[in-house]
Amino acid sequence: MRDLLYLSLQYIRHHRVKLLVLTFAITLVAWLPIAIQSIVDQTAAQLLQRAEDTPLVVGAPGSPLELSLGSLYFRAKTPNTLPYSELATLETTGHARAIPLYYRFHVQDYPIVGTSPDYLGYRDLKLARGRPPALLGEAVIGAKVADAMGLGVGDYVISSPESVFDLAGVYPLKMPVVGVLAPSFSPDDEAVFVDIKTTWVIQGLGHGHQNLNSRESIGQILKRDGDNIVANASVHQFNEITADNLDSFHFHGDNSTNPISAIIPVPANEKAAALLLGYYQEERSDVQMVRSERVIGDLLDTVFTVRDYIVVGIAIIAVATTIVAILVFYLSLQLRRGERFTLARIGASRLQVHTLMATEVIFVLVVSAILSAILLALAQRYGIALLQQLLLA
Amino acid sequence: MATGFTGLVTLVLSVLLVTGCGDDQSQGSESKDASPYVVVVNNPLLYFTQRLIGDSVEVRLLAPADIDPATWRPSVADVLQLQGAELVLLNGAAYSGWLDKVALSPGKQVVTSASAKDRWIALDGRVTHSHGPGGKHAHGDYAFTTWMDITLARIQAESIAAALQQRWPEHTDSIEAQLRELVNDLDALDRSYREQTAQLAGRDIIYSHPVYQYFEHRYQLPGRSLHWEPDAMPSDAQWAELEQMIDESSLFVWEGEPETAIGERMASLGLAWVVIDPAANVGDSDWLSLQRENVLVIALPE
Repeated sequence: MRDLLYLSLQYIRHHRVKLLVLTFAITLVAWLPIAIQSIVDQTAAQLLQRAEDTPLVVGAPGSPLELSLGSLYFRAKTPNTLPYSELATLETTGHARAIPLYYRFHVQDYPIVGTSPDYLGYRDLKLARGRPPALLGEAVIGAKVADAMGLGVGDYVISSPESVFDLAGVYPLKMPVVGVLAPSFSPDDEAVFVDIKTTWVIQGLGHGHQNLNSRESIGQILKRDGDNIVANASVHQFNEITADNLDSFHFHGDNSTNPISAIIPVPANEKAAALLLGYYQEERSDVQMVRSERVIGDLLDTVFTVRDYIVVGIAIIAVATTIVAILVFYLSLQLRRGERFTLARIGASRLQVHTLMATEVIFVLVVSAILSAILLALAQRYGIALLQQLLLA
Repeated sequence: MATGFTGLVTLVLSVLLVTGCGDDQSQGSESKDASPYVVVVNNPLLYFTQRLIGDSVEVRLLAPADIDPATWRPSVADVLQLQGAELVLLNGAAYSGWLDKVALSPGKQVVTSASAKDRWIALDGRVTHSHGPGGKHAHGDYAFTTWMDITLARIQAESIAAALQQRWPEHTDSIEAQLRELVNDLDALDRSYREQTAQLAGRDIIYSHPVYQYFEHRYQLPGRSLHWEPDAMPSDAQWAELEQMIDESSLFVWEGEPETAIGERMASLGLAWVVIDPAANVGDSDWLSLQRENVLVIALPE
């Protein structure tokens, strides 16, 4: 047996280029259709699950797809906005609770999601460490954000300016991390959660600054006109909300007019959901309510169609490759006729000769199978996230 | 060769194991406090809510008894309690200045005086300021002691009843019955206040603090407000200012019983005074009893 193995290995070594080419060809045609099918199916299942978990979304008029992708995956760059008062309007219908979302800002590449404390419970998100946001300016980060940025409770995240040239615009806000979410294997892992009002502070709709009535502010006062104080732009505005300056933070105007990206309605039952849908479809043209499942389903239908074309194409290539491989093996056996004759003359049994001949085929098939399994595993690990990013971009 | 093959198999299995384990992690929700509770922001709301819901649901006032709930600021632990409440009953009229600084679900918040927002009294003399691109803006809003107009207190009680009935529909009938009794008590209190305060018509009223705006408006007792504390002896300048203000018709209204020395000095000036306690925080008696005591003392100024 050892002699047989030795001869087989010598043969493989001698014909390594031919066998490697064959192996890779078979690996590719075996792996590609399975991987594509598997990745697309799993991606679709994950996307649909998120949509099923969030069947309804309310937002400003515009692209339903953009609204769904933004609300479910926080991907929209500059979403149209609703006034915060729309939240109360929705709740006044009595059909559902309402969870606000505002996902315009980022910490590096991670979206900052301004929401209410209900969101964590709604998504069933657990805290691995720390506590939920309690005060203005506090943040809870997703598991992947924590891993990627090396952050934990007690560290800080800083909101990214929307434009480096916007020198007079929104100042970055330094936010303490008070909690880290356990992995949920969802877009929530890659988000930074804050209270909705914190996003308004990031936007500059609310701020904290030094007391303009204090003696230290005299140099910054341009004019006092009765009860109105006009100060110059050098007034020190706080870029971090602390226990000491929290009281100085305030919002300009009525919070009900401040922007939000979307609302997730949480109806008590299907009847309430239907009534709510009817309300928005019949009575509101200034606001849209979309059914996420349907919108994501439409997106996935396109993906499935593309996948089917690709798989058919690869299947045709696979058939051609298989025929070529059979031809190669056949020609190889023909070329090894003299080798078989010699083996028989030196005393090898028929079984040993046939086994030696089959080694070439077995080697190619086994190595191809192993490589395909490895590639499939890698594709499932990284391909799903990649495809999701491509679809949501 | 055999070792290499085993290593390869191990690698394949490891990769499959790593990639496969992700989706199976359990994701249960965090355990919630088993017993539901309601949080209120001042004593009148505490009284109304306790009368309406009885012992069925715990009602919590988080502000300590020695702090005016209007100036109280919640700690992180308090905010977490607020987040865990079934309902957070707010006074409205900018009473809870901390509301903009905490994370609290809007769906849990009930502004009990919201339906009477057109009766909120805007404060004059707010300092507005402007700097940078934000434009002119002001800090401060409304007078907030809404319940000192008992008709507004009644509206607040009705609002609480509606919120409780919506949250606990199984208690609708009992809440309705309790509301009828409470409204009767409040109507009677309002009548008593009107009758007693009518006797003070024409008198020059000086209030120790600017917290009586609704009381002044409802019971036609306009007056001037100072910033005197009943447990802190005013300065000589303050006394001098007071002497300039008063005449024989003056009546000084305190939020709480003043120190003996302060009362004696007022007596020496010939200035009568009474205590009309808004009862914003819990005291020795319940809110209604304290209000009834107010009614009794109004007609008997010392």
